Amino acid sequence: MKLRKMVTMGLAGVMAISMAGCGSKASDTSSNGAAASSNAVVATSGQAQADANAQAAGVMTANTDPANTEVTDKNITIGLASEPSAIWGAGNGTTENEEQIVSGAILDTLVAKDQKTGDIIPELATEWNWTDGTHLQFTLRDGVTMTDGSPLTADDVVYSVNVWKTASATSDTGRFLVGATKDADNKVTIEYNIAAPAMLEMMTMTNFGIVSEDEVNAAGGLEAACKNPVMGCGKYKFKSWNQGQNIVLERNDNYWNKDYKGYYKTITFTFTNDAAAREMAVESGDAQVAYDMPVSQAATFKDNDAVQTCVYTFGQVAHLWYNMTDSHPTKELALRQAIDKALDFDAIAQVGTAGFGKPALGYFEDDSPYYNQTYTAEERAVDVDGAKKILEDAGIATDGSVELTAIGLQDVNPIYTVMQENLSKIGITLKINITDTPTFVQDAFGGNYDIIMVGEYTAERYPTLLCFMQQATIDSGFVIGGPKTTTPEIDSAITQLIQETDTAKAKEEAGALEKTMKDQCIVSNLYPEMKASILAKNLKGYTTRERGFLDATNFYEAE
Amino acid sequence: MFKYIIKRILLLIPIMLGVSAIIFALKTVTPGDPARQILGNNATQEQIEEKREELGLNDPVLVQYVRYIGGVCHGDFGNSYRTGEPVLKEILPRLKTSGIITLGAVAIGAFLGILLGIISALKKYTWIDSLVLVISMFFQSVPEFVVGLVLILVFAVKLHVLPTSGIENPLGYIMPMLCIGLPSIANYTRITRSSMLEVLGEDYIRTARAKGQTEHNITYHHALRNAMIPVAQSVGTSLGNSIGGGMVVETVFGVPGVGKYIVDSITQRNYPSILGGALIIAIVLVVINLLVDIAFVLIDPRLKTTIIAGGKKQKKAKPAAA
Amino acid sequence: MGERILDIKDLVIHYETDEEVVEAVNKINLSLEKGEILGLVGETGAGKTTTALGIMRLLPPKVGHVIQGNIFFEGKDLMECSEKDMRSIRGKKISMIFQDPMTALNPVKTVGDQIAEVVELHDNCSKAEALKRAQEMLAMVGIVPERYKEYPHQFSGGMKQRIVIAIALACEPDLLIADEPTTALDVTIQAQILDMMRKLQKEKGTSMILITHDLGVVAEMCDHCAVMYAGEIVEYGTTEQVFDNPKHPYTKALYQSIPSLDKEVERLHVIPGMVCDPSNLPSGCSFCERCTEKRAACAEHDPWIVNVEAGHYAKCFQYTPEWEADKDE
Repeated sequence: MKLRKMVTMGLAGVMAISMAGCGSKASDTSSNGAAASSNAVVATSGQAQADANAQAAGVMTANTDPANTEVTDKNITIGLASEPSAIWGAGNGTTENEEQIVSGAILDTLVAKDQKTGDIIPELATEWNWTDGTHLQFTLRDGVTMTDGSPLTADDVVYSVNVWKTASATSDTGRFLVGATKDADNKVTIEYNIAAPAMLEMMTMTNFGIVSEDEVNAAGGLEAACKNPVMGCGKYKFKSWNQGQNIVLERNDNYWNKDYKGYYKTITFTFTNDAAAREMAVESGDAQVAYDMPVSQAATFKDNDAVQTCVYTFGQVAHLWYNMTDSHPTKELALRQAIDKALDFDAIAQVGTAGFGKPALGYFEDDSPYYNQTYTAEERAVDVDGAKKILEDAGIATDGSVELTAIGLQDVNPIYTVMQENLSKIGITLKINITDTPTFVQDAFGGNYDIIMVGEYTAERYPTLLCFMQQATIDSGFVIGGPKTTTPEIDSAITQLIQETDTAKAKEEAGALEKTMKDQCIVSNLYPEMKASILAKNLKGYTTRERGFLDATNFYEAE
Repeated sequence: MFKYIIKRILLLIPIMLGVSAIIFALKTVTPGDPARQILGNNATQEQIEEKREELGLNDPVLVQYVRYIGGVCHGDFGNSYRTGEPVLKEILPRLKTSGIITLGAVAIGAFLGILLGIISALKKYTWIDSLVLVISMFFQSVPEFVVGLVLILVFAVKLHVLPTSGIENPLGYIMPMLCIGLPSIANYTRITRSSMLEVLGEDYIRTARAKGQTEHNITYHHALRNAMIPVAQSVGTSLGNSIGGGMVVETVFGVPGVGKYIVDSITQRNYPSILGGALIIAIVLVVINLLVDIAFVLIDPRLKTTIIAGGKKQKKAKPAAA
Repeated sequence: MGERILDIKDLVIHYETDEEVVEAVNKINLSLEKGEILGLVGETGAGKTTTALGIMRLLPPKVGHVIQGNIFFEGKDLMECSEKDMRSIRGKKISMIFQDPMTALNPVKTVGDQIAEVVELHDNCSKAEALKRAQEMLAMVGIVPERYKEYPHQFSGGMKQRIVIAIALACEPDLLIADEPTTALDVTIQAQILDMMRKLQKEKGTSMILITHDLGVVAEMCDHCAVMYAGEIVEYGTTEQVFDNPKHPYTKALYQSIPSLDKEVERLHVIPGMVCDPSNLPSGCSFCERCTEKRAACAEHDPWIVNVEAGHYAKCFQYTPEWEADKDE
């Protein structure tokens, strides 16, 4: 049996790798969970700017290569982590990462977002203007043909809006919509039930892809069209979906934008759960992209010459929320402040981003137009004595008798472990409760925690911004994490921030709100979250959409 | 024989009732409202109530259970919460995929294992015997996913002879089969070796030698078939076990199999898929076991008497000639 | 005196394991004439079966070794034969019937196949012919030939032994070694089997070594009788000589341990002591420990074989001149 022991031990290293693989799965689900549930989620624009921290040797970032100019008959294979349950999510009210990536290539939206500058640019609409706070009018482009050959009309937009509103009524896609009216053959007004300038940016998201009623009917109705989406007017057309195996798209040679050049004739999406296996598919040449690798695992390939490693931020910052309701020790301001002082944010950022990111100094990501540096680097340094003093002054025991519970999915376990170690230094016991997604969601809804880590996607001031402290969402009970309580002042400040039409003023308002949050120590900002992919060596044109989702249509091969 | 088969098939009923009852019980105690999972977290309470009513989740568990069993009797295993497709329709192609991989894996494992076991038994206590032991233990000790990743590294990344994942290319089946098959070698080797050694020490082997039979024929005609009886038993068990147990391998190789389907369904709290998957696997298991038992009769004629007589032993055995 | 079919000279067989060396057969000499039946008697562990296996060259591989000696069969030294030659001898020239008929047959092959196998191996005939021969053999041993398609488990113990005998006789061997052919069987079946064997032996003129611990069987069947003790032949002679005039103390003791209907005894006579450990044989007479007639010299020197009367030999000091001299001292 000695032999067996040795063999097993000798392979411990290899096992470590695949452990990381398991971690990746967990993080997928977690971002799903957070996305689907915290209202913050149906997100929007992606971040295009290169993250300086990610520019380590051998690592590239997204949205930096010039556009492709060549057209070939080649195929590109993109390895996704899992198979979506549908391709057209807006049609059946689902929002899955993989579904967004596939449908993003098939459907065009009214407006798009320049991932380099963050500007809203024309797509199917050439012009737009707010007629009032809740009515947004779009002027449609001429000469756009749908998959079935018919031209794009205002009726198609009205139909699409109705589908979003009804089929996705319970998701962020549909719940802010009142409806759409055809103003002219090429003019449509969409009405929202909330005044928020960010609704324009939201219209760039994949879920707001335009389809025509005729196409949906031809595909067999709404339900069938979700799985057989021969429709839209995007850069690629749906070709086939071999369940369990792959989804194949084909270049739309009739695409309205003649400036766009699709390098690959077909795009094949495959589904491989195991991150290491996904990466090896790229290394072997079976695939060109291994999408959504755990950052820690992707980092191990940065010196591998056979592949390229792509690491990027996507407009989401991880936050640590304190439950401030009765019966939770974290109701005490002093305890929250002590925790904030005791946490080693450098170490947490290191663990959370595999060394690519730095601690967040504000609630928004630092390249957001609404970013305020609320904390100084000094304030983020560990201060055990200061933390202890706060506890002593407040009469809180530091003998380990104060016990806090943190809940999370498997992927946050390493971060909680760092926190556990930090807090033990000030005599606070942290109990880490790692569960599966449904249990986590239930506990997070019900406030069954003292502290909880959640990321919020804040590329724009969506109606869901800071939903953790919006009275309405707290009342509904369907918010993942947060303090579970708020004040009328904070609530109205959030509403004001969402509705502010002037960007510069919005930044100021955000700063003021963050000041309040800092004074009351409602949240501790952790680090900008990151995504990573592994690419074939000569592959160029890694671009993203909202939430850092891959835009599969812009890849090309270097000469 | 016919009566015996019927009896075995009737055994399915309590098994299926038991499996479904356990999963139904789990469903009531685990957190997560299926209606909310279908509708998403922004659904209003009314919408959720409506969905619960539609799914029949508001009825007492017993009523839900009876209704489900009724459906199963008509071949209706319910619809997946995730995709809305009938569970049976989703599972059957996956079952086929897993079945092919399982058969291949068991064939590879059994073939190599039996071969090594025979070699090991014939060369007992020599260095060859020890080498075989080391090889087979190596594969058993290394976890499946490590074997999988190493296989990908060697055959796909370095040699470019097999696809890394997926089964669109039939070659894609090879690595999953190897990955499940190789670790089982040790088991077959061990059983074959000890069984061979035992059989080779039997009196009838000496009888065969006394007839002037060659060692080769003794090994393959006299010993092997007898030695295969415990091995066949083991093959039968692993056929059943691995059909639903290929989760790790299916994950690593991106194979749409039934093991991964059920595990995914569990993480998604997709109860119709969990239940349907478990029941269908239970049925497959019972059928496989039955087939294995029938196959046994072909190897070991002694069993025929027992099985045909339905337990009434010796019924056909003739009394000793006076 | 007829032609000698078997002649064993100074045969020594050891079983060697990592722990010990068992001296199972020690320098035995035996000969057998054509058409004759030799009875080999002795208690369990005396080396009877080992001797038989030695003749067949079927000693357990790696463990059993012939250390020295020759076995001449029809003038040819079997010890010199290649394995291939031996295979052509086994089953054809020399057959063996094993102790336990319950386990001597392969459970997964039909009895017909098992009989035909030996025929096919040696008689250069087709499978069909071999099967036909198998059916004849079944008939000869008194089993319905149609049952050749059945498996061993469908037969009773006595019938299995008949099948084993059928296999042994299928190629009409010159020498048949029967190793306790009836021990595992009921008494009534024993008689039937022995009857049948004697009949077949007479018909075919087969020579035979009958290994048994049953003296009655020997008396009934054998021409000559050899008594083995601790790997040695301690007494040899015609059956009449050994039975009517036993010389060796061990043989005498054996007779005393046979229950008799004539005499009333409280309990059966038991030979005192244990058989000596064959892995650690004494330097003197191996029976000395249990012998009632022993003397000091018995423990020191191994006795040699003494010709006590014409064709009657015993391995005991009391028939040597030295014995008488010793007594006088």
